[in-house]
This record gives sequence, structure tokens and C-alpha cells, in this order.
Amino acid sequence: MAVSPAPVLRVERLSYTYAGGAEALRDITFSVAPGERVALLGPNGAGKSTLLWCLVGVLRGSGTVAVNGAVLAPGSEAEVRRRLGLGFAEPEDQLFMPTVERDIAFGPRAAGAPPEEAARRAAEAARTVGLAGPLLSRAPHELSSGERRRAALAAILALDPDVLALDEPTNSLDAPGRAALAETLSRLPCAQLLATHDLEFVGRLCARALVLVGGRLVADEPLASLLGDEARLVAYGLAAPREG
Amino acid sequence: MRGPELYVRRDSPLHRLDARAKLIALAGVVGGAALCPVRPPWPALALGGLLAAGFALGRVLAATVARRLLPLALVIGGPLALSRLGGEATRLAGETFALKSGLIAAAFLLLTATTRAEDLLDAAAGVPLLAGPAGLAGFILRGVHLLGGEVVRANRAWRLRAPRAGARVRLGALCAASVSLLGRAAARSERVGAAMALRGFQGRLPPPPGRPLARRELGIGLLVVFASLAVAGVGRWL
Repeated sequence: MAVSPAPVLRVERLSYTYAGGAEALRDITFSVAPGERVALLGPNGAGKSTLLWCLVGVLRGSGTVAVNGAVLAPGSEAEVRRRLGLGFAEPEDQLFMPTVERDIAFGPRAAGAPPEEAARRAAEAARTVGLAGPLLSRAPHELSSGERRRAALAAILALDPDVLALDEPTNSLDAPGRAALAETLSRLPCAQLLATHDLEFVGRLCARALVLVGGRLVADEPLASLLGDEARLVAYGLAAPREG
Repeated sequence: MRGPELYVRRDSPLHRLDARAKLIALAGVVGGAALCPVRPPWPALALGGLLAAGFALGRVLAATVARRLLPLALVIGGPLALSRLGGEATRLAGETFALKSGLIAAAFLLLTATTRAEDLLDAAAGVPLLAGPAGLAGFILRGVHLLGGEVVRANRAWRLRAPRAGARVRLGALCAASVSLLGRAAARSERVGAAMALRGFQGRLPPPPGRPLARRELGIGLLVVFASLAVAGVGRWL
């Protein structure tokens, strides 16, 4: 009998309530295997972004989050964040250094890598996402939306995470940009959790889908079966009902 | 990154000079201006000539210099004009303030007009006491750029919706937009802070990649220091 590998991301009974009392997540439990790509789907306000922020301890929920053995707890955030790279919905918020090259190298430098090693890792990450040449010496705000998205992804990849969690990765990307991003993600060996409304995008990449509605996990199943069930897509707020 | 309206994009020997050499030269000119006597006027004129040569070498147009120094004219000219109403000591104090402030302001203008803000901040980050403020200034500059973009977009948005608005409506829109922009800036700063923490930031920015300052460029910086201090020193001595 084949033994399934230990999950690289394990979430158990995760709940989060905002300061005002609004319950954003309730009893979320799932796991992700090494190298697995999982779509995190849900309508606006379902709690997808909140869940991602809870995974890295920026928002503190109740329950258990463990990334490759490191359990999220006070004092262990840095280790969890090193193992799980989070891409924001707005990449502009994620790029803060004077040049793209230095922004990508920031993580390795902050982790104590010598400048040469950080530069090498930054160059490798930039190459992985297709950034090169003069783009690297430009200021992040001088880049196009697609280039900023790639730079933010490279900044995460430079830290060599075990899990990549991306919030709305196709926001403000045109069709070629989405195709290029899908191609890049398909080549990465790390596990991926892609929070999005873009069913066509995750359809290219993911075999499994988690569906959040109103802060609850309502489905954890093969993506293909979900995409083939239009009634449920409509019920979950992932597709508009057909007219007539 | 560009400083707000300060950098003048040109290809000149001064633009190509390493920012660290220019910072050394600036320190010399500021020191020279501080030591420079007001009377006789020739040391101040010599320092002014040195700066004028710098502007010419940097291909910064006189009109640009005049436009950027104009706001300072009020700050410098006001006290100078008032000092003329007093006695000899007051007049001398007014002249001293005007002369030294003008020279120092012109030196900073020359530096910022010929050096990109990012290069300047990198150069400043190499100076022990300036490293922290330089890093902070970098963030502020980036924040200014982001906020500037938001201001432009908000301005366009309300103009499109109220193209013929009167002064009262405009003022109301300005107040409301300012509150909204501050809220957005605060939310964005939270996200940027989170981005830094997620990538391992623990309160200290990694220093910029270092490379040694070429001897020739160091020599140019030191030459300006020597010339500035020599002019001021000889002026005082005579």
C-alpha cells in the first residue's frame, strides 16, 4: 500500500474573528502535500485573504497551522514565514526597496546571507520568473503591473519556500501575463495554494480545490469535478447563473 | 527613485561622478560656507563661482537653478531685508545668514540636481551616522511617490465627477480626499510593514551592495573640500 507523504502544510480547526466581532473563518481544516497545487476558491468576502494572513501569523487565529513541521506559535513566526511565502493581492505593497534587484535580494540578506550569496539567489529567482537586464536596476514603481507581479514572486522565491501562497495572483494581468505566470508556477517544485476567482487560471494548474463560503470550508475535492458542476459553482458564488 | 522634482536628467561629468565623491565635496562646500567671512566679499564670491562652475559642468540651466532657489529667496531675503533696518551688528548678522544659507542651499541643490535620490541615499547609507536616516529617507521617498500617485488619481476622479465645481465644493472635496488618502496610506503602510516582516525584517535594513570608491573620484571630492576650505581659510586669515 502506498504511503502518502507527510503534508507540507497542515491547518486544523483554524478560526478567526475580527476585532469588531465579525467571524471571518470557522473551523478550517485541510492539508497540502509536498509539490501539490491547490486552488483556494470563494466569492468576495469569503475569507480567502484572511486565511492566507492567518497562515503566516500576521492575523492570529485559533487552531493549528504547521508548515513543514514548524508549528505557528508566538516565537516561531519567522520560521513559518521562511517556509511559507505569501504573495499579496497588490504586489506594489510587497516591493519596498529602491531597486528590483535589491528588493529580491532583501529576504536572503535579512536571513543573514552574505551579499554575494544573496545576489546569486536574487539573480536565480529573477531568472525563474523571467526578469532580467535593465528591469532589475529599475525602481519597483517604474515597472508595469505584470512586471511588478513577477518581481514580487521572485522576492518570495529567493527565500526558497516550501509552500507558496498567492492571493489573487492574476489581478491586473492580461491574458499573456496570466499564461506566463501559469507557466512559471507550473515549473516550481514547491507546494502552492492559489487564492483566486480565476477558474480558468487554476484550471491550468491545480488538480484540487478548496472552496470557502462565508468563512467556512464547504468543499475540498478534485477541481475538475467542481468545474463540471455548474449548479454548485453558482451556489458557491463562483459563477453567474445563466439567463433564461 | 527620484526625489520630488529635484533630479535633472542629464548626461554630464557631474552626473556620472560617484555620489559618495559628491557627498564628500558637499561636506567641503558646507564647511567652507560656514567658515567663510562675509567681508571682504571675495571668498564668498569664489565659493559662489565654484558652485556656478558645478552647475555649468552638470548642465543644469540657470533658469532651473533660479526657479528652485526662488522659494528660498523669501526665507533668506526676508530676514536680510529686515536686518537692514537695524544697526551695524544686525546688518552683519543678516548678511551672514543670507550669504551662508544661500551658498549651502545652492550646494544642496547642485547635489540633488545631479544625483538620483537612490544613489544619494545609498551613498549616505555608507556613512555611519547617516545610515539610519538614509534608510528612513528612502522609505519616505517611496511613500511620497506612492501617495503622490494616489493624490493624482483622486484628483482626476473628483474632477471627472465634478468638472465645474465651485471653490466651496473643491475645498470640501480636498478635505474629504485628504482624510481618505491618509486612511489608505495607513492601510498601505500596514501591508508594507507586513511584507517586510514576512521576508525576515528585524529592524535593520541590509546595507547596500558596497564597492570601493575609485581613487580618481575620491580625489575630485577631496579637491573640492580642499579648495572650499582654502578659500574660506585664506579669507579669514586676510
